[in-house]
Amino acid sequence: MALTREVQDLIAQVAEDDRRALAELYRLSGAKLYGIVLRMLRRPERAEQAMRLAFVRIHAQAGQYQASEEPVAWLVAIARASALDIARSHAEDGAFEPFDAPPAADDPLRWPERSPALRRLLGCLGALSEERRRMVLLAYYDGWSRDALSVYFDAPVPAVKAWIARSSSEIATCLARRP
Amino acid sequence: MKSQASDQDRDLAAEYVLGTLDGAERETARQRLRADPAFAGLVRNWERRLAPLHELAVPIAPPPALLRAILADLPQPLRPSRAPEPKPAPTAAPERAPPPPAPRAPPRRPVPVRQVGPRPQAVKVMSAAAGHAVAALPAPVPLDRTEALRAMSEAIAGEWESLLAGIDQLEADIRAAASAAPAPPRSEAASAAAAPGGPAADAAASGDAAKEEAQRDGAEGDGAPPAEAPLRTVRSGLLGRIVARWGRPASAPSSGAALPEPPVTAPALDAGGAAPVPDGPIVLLQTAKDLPPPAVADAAAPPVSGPDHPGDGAPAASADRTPPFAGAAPSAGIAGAREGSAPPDRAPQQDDAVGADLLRNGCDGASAPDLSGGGLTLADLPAAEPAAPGPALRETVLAQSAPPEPAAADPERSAPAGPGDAACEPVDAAAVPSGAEAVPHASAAGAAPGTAALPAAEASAAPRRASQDPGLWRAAAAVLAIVAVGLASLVAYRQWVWPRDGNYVAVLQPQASPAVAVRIDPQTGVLFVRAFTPPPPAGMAYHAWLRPVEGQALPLGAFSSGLMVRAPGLGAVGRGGLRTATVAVTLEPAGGEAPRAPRGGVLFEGRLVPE
Repeated sequence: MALTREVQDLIAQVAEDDRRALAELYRLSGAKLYGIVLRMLRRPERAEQAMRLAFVRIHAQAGQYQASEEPVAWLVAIARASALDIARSHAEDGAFEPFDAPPAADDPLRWPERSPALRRLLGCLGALSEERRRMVLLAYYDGWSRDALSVYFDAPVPAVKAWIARSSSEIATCLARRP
Repeated sequence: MKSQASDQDRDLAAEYVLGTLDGAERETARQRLRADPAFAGLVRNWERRLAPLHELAVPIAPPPALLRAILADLPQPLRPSRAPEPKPAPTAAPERAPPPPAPRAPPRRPVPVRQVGPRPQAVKVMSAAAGHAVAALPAPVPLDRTEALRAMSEAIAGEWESLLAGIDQLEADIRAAASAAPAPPRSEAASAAAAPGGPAADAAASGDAAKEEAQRDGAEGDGAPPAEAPLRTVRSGLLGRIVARWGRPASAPSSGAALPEPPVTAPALDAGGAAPVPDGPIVLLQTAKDLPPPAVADAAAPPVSGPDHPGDGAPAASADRTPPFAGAAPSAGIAGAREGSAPPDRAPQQDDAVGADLLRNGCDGASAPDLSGGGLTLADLPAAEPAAPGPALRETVLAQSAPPEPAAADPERSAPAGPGDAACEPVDAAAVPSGAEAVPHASAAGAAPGTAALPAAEASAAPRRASQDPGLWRAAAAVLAIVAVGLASLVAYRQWVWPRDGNYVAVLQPQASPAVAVRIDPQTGVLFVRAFTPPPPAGMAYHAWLRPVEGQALPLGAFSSGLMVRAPGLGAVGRGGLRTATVAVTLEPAGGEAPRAPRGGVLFEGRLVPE
């Protein structure tokens, strides 16, 4: 995909410490990453914090990026990890907070349609029991901690942990099974 | 390396990527990530596995100043001069050249933004991407214990107004649902009441006939007559089944009864008894035995037997006879209303719809964007979210539709029961012993008419003896009266007391998930409170208040997550007071003297209803 190619090139340039490439990368990926991060953190100031952390890391790790990797997934992984780091370094006071979200923005990196990989993953998620599927999705999209999940699902923390472990092993098995 | 990795590491990697590790675990994992390439590989694998989900994420425009901040965060460029130059990719160059206006940016169609919150309690706004609404979660149960809770209660306070509006709306919905639901049951009850109209009408006819006879008999003398009139009318009463065996066939009351005919043969008796009896007495038995008697039962029983006290003159009888009969319809209607508490059965479904709807609005995206691709559907996920709300709403519905019925039904129901039993009085002496057995007998007879035959000899002998000895007859009547009054009071007791035995509950609902549940036992004044909300912030405590329609709020107690106390003031309020009162929860400073009146604003409030 041309866009993928372009992002890869930008990452390569960022690895060269090209600020304009980074700005361009930000322009392309900012909306997506910010949307992901804001949803996980709920607070705009924390989301900004996470974005800054993410781009510092992108800048720092761009050299380790391997071209075989899906570049957007790589960016997203860094952004999510940054958001989680921010989230877990604060007292957990915002997990369930309502928040105002700006309207959805135009996403230059938007896939025109669902990728086969997504469809497969969804198929595997669909094989989980409903509760465990929700748990995974809440953790992934909303950054809910184990405690939050434990409260929400009214289950002790070890049970949540066990459920997640089971879910993840099922997902891994499912994804590995089919070609 | 993955194959060698321990399950533990794999789980750790998955949790790390998902983000469910707590702060310390996450820090440890991060350190390991740097030091342990195998573990890093596991993490990378999990990032890759879950990565496709980002396609469903909703993009949101970052604040404009963010880029500057990001650039400022970066370490000083090592080779500032070189930065713009190295552009190995020629294709990228023209595109990167005009960064701000970006004419290159593919004109993706703007994604429609959907306000996901027609109801105020839904999270304010989230957006939609490509038609897939992704909403923030509806701020369900807050985390716990500490500051999260303060933030939460602040949020609650802030949104209180809108929440109230939401509740109003919800209540309106529920009321609409509830008022729509009862209609069918009521009509069923009506038609059910119409059905017994057949037997009941028969009974009434026979009652009229009896009246005529009574008049005639009165002219003739006082030997047979007293026995004669009651016998016929009682036939449909509690002991009617037995009496019918001694008396004449009900099928020929007007003509045959007047004549001193010999005892009728058994088959005829059965034929006569079978028609009215099963509807009458058996039903009455049910009233005595089973708490919620079928609506039909009461409707049919009282009119027939009601007026026939031994003391009642014949003339009065006809007058008496009609009213209870007319009363049959209302009481059936009320019984219908009681069955009409069927709305709980029915309403919940509607209500679930309401809830689902509500939640759909609120939580669509909570679980994730539309996932209809794989094994998932959008309906699947959002519907899954509202686990808690569903029941809660149902409770509300129950609570709303339940209250009126028992009170209305009771008087009507138990009142006729008394006369109905009293109608048994006139049965003769022989009936007393057998009257005690009458209950089993009658029910057996109801099941299989004619099978539970008394000895024919005894049956035929009894009336004769009775007619020969009016004094004995009277004594028997008195004894039976006592028995009947006892039975009647038992029925009355059950009708009046039992249905009201339950506790009072309220489900107070500012949000889709239950907030505070309150249960009051009016008998003992014991109060149970169970809070599903976050505990109050430090230094504060929830206080429950009983708010009567008028007068001052009565403090019930302070709690953080739950409460079980005996509130002394509750006993004085009484059932009537509770029925109209509400329970409210306010936030008050903890410790010290319990406040006499609520100072904080009402956080939760709900009306008490009988359970």
